[in-house]
Amino acid sequence: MIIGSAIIHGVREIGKHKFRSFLSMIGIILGVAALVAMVGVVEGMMAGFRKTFETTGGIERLSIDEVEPPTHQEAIAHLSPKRTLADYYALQQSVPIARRIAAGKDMNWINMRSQNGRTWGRAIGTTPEIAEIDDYSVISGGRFISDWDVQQKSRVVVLSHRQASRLFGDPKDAVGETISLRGIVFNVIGVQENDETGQWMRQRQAFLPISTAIHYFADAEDITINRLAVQARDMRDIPELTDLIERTLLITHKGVEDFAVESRLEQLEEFKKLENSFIFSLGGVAAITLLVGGIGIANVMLASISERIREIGIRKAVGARGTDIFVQFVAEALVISVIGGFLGVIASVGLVELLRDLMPTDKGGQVALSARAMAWGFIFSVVVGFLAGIFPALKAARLPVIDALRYE
Amino acid sequence: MALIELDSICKHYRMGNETVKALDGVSLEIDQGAYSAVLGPSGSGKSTMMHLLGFMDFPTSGSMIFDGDNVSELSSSKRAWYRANRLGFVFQTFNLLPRLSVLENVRLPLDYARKTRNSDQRAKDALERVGMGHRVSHRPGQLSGGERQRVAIARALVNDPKLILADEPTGNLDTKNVERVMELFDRLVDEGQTLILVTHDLEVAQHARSIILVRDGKLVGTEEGGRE
Repeated sequence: MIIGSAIIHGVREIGKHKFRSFLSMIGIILGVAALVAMVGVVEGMMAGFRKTFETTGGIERLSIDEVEPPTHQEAIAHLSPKRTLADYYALQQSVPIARRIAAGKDMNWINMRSQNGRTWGRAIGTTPEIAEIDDYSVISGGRFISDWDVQQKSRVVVLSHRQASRLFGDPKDAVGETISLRGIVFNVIGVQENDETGQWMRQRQAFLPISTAIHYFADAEDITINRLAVQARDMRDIPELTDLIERTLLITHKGVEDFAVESRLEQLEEFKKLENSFIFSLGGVAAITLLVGGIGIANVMLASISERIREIGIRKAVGARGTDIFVQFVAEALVISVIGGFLGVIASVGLVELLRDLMPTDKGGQVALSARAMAWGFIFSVVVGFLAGIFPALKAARLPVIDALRYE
Repeated sequence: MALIELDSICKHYRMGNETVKALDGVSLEIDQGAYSAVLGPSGSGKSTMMHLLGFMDFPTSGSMIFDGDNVSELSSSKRAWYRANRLGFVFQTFNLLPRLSVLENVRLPLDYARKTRNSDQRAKDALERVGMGHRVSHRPGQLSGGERQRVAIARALVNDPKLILADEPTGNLDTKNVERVMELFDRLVDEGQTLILVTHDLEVAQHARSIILVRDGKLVGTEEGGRE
């Protein structure tokens, strides 16, 4: 009952000092809005990163990178053919527990011509698995590179959506047509789906069988590949898989340790560290804003109390205990912070909308309005208001009744 | 039977290096149903006496019995309980809360005594007793001085107190309203209310049935009779 009437009086008291109360709320409003927007930006960014991570093989992906051989192997380093298609075939034979094995070779930019058009593209030699690991799909009517294509060094190409429309107008018309790459005729067997993530690079890639790419476009004598990836069936297989890959490749590389099997665990760790540092730094800013908001409320409460010393005296004279006075003033601070928190949540919606328009979307990031962040922002603001109310309310509760009553 | 017994009550304050003896060995009995006036010039200690009798302060030494209980050393929340449940106050400056309606002002002691049952009705009854039943929803600022003091008296009455303390209750009123307030006090005492007036105005003091004279923190005499 005392708490109920304290809240009613709190609302009335704030109604009497609308402007002053609003000023004291601004800190809280900004704090909540900053908190929600910060969480929205970080979550959106991290969701974008996660999506990219997933579409490029996820955590189960191991990549075999080229590294400098250790110094004691300098003398025999030349014996190793480095990473070649032989590695790819060897792994396929000896690592049955792998889910997918893929090889790739990035070629230079190539001039592409059809009967009616021309464009530029990045030619990429691949094996069939790339389509699954990197999540490329082909529009209906066409197909991706097959094992047969790789074995036969077929002159076939899978164009990007953008390239197909440049060369043939309607991408659907491209399948079955021929194009010329540096004067060599290729059959178009498929066109990639239009890429929703809209990445610049993905819109300009054309896939050829890796054997074909090496045969026609690599420098003479160059049989190396520059992408070799293995996808595990399960994260738990990674240690065993790593071991198997290393043993297999040591044979094909003639004992030279010029490769390294990299898992993406470290990358994921890095990413989590990044996420945490974002949350701590931006969260710190939001927390400081809320703290400043709390100080604002405490200030207004102190002002309000020194204006109302006589009222406190009267209330005590007719029987209010220190606790009653304490509850009254804490309730008033709470009412301010609840209203402030509520307005802050509303403001955060606007702020997030604004940020959504300002942030670039091609990185896959989307500023998200998080209901959880809004709830936390609101709860924090109420806690801050409560804490800010305690000290002034204690001061009021401890006023001696005679002094308060005599106060003019 | 005595409602209040004071036995060699002292109240000393320290002001810098000096000790001010606001009350110095006061012994006094006030009976149930008494109508007493504490009379003395300003600085005589009558305000201190009023604070002690009103449970707003505590004595430095001596004992105070209220309604059979020793109340010399009470915690501040216990004193608040007495103020809410056993006492009524009437002040010179009325001391109504301007933001609250007349009814809410009168109800305040009941709220703090946690006596919420029928509290609105009890507050209205108290306002009827002082002839202010027609003003329940007004704000104090909309009332005249005399009306405000009657509302304050209703607030003092609302919890059926054992004792009403009136501190210079007529100090801010004109003659006509002084008469009305004093008549109201007379009627309350006739109905059995114990009442103590604190004043420096002899004319007002003479309404009481006994006068307690205070000077320099000491009781210098009691006088029975007054106006009777």
